[in-house]
Amino acid sequence: MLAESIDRWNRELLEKGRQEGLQEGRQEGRQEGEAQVVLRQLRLKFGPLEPETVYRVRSSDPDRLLEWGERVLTAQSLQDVFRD
Amino acid sequence: MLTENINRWTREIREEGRQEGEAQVVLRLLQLKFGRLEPETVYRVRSADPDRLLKWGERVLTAQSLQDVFPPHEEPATLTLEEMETMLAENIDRWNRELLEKGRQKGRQEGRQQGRQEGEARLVLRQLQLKFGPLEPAIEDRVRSADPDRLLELGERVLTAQSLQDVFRD
Repeated sequence: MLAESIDRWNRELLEKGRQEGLQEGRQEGRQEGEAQVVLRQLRLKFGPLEPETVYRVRSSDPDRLLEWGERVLTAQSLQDVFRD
Repeated sequence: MLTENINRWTREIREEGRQEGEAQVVLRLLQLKFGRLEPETVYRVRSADPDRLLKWGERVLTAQSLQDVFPPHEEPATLTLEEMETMLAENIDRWNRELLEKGRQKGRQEGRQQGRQEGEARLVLRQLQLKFGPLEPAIEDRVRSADPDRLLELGERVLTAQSLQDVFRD
């Protein structure tokens, strides 16, 4: 009886933590996914990237990444992508 | 083998008997000197080890009160109910925090996987729309349900594709 209650309680806590973690992870993951596509495209278009550029992309927020993603399509140089 | 066991049992029984004998003497002396004893005191004496009993026996001779025999600083370490409740509550708190954290770690991993795919899809969709105008729902679904590697590949093709067909060929 007690053991069952504790089991249920444990499962509920794990699940509660998991839900919280899901949200956090998802936010992080979205940003990472966008950064990954942008980096891949930048490399394809402009060759190997400076570590600073990689860092800049990896640490930007998702909306900024969408904007850079739009610019990649028409940019003639890295400067075109990152101008602002 | 049998002899050995018998010897051991005999020793144990004698030790127990000695402790009981000593306890009885101490109890008798205490009662003579201080009158009726509290059940806790009787229990304490009955469960004490022989060395402790010898020491108490010595003290009884000169003691003016029970406290002289059992000084407060020698009280057995016991927890009050309140202390026990606090301890239990603290342990439960810690346990809960650990479980929450464990769940959060797990959720974070899962969420991150999902999020990566979603982020890639979002970016590729935005680029496709920008390049080729509004997308058919079927195309949108296709992008949203692609796995992360496939999305990276689509992303590469978007750069040079002249049409949606170029992106989704194969």
